[in-house]
Amino acid sequence: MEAIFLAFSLVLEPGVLGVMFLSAVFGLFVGSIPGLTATMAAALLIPFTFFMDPVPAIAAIVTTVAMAIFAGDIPGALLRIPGTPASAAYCDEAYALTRKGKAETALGVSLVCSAIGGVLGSAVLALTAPSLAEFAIKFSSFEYFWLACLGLSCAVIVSTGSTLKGLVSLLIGLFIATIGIDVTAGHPRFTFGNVEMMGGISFIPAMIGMFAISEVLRFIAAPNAQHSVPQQAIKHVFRGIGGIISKYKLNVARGGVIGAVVGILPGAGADIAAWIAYAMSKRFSRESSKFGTGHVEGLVDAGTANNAGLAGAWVPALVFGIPGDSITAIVIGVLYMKGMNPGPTVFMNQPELIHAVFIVFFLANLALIPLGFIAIRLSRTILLVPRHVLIPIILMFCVVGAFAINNTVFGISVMLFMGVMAYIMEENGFPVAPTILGIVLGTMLEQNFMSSMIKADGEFSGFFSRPIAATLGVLVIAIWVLPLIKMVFRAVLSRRVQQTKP
Amino acid sequence: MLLVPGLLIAYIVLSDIVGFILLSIIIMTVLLYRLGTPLLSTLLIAVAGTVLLQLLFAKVLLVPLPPGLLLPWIG
Repeated sequence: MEAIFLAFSLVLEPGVLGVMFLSAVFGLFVGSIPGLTATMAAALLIPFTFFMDPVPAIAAIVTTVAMAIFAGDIPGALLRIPGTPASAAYCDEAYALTRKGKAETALGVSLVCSAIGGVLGSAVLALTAPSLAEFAIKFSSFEYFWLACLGLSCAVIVSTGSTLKGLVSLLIGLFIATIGIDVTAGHPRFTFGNVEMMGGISFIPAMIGMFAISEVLRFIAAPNAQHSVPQQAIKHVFRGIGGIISKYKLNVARGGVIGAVVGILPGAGADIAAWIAYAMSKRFSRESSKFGTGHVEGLVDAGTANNAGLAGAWVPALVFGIPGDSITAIVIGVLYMKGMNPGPTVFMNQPELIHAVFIVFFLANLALIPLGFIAIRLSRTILLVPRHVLIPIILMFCVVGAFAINNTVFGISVMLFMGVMAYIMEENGFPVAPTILGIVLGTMLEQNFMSSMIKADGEFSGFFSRPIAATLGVLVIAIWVLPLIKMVFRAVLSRRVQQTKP
Repeated sequence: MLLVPGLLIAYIVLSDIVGFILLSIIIMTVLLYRLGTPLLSTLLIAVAGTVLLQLLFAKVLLVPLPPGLLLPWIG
């Protein structure tokens, strides 16, 4: 109880609230500009969070991202261009509503559902994380090894596109994580005698590169023209929204649950949550033929799901240090930099910090309603901001940000390399999220593997000697082996079919 | 397409000698102009953007951005 009061006093400080307000404005702006994603907004914040205390740093990221994910719906509805990938699932539907002259309804539903989804997700986070942490406190290196394996395997399976490409992407990430001094034996790896490489590839410049520089490169490669904004009066955003929400309250609940669950899965974030929720909504709707023609039902589901997914992703991140999506991967990077390693011990030793995170989540999602409303009213002006002016400024900002982490140009080199790599990967259909998870979890995976092997005297059976470790281990191996069994089964079946044919 | 990596490599190599302010103005000017901004507003945005970044990072966040050739004036 005392911890909760302490947490309130940590959050309700003028400094923290000011940071949250500025982050909200920043998030709404970045989210509503097509081509600038929520993840990029988080990456651009890193240089600032580097100079902040943990609570304002977390508050800044949470607020920015919650606002940006909603704001992505604005150009989706008005221009049919999703502002962030998380709005892509229902952008056609929202635009169809606008064409019917119902832009107000589309944006109002998006706004209210985003806020409800965010609050639902925050509730899931606040209710599940502490009890999971109590359970996780008993975990040893064996369990953490399997958990890291599970997280990485999930990231490959749920990644968009082919599983093989996801696996390649993961291996690239794991390789990058091995660069530098070996965690157990202290042997330098892949450093080419370079002193700066010995420290390893630090997260922060790598992430600025992968999320911001890659977007800059994509824009330069195909500088799309400014779009004209439809001249439609958007005034009464909240008119009739109450009726829609109460009509589809089951959809809201379903979207919230799907979002939170997908968010918890490592590697799948708000965008995948929105796609799944939209598909489910269509599948189970009584009026599924209306989908795609400007029907609000899908908007309710998917709009709730993507904001719920954001909070869901924080569950594994806070409890195990395993990021649920790219954004929490950035958060974990920032927390490590501050010497605060996420994990169950934080729940025991600094419960006020964890409660502060929960409070920030609720606060940010409630603030979404008034601030989002203002953003909708200003949307026409925001959409007129020329992107070709912003891109060069963003580029120099990234340069300074990557430099600021260690005050060396090595950070800029890392940023450039990772940015070019992420650009090439995405252009060829390789998902980037598994690489990020590989970089963030690689060290943890290796460290836990090595210390487990030392504890077990080199006996691999040690990984199955504790009940939870054994369960997790069997689960991980099942995930690895199932696709193979399926493949063999199918091959045998098709051969039989061929044999029975004359 | 190779413009951005080229400019960044130039920054990595030259930043210690030339300094942040001059290089940032050059990089922004090249990019803005390339993206179709009129020359006059290109120069204005490049200078204003650079000054803003310099103030924000060097003065507020105390990041030691390399002064380079401008050392006598801003050191």
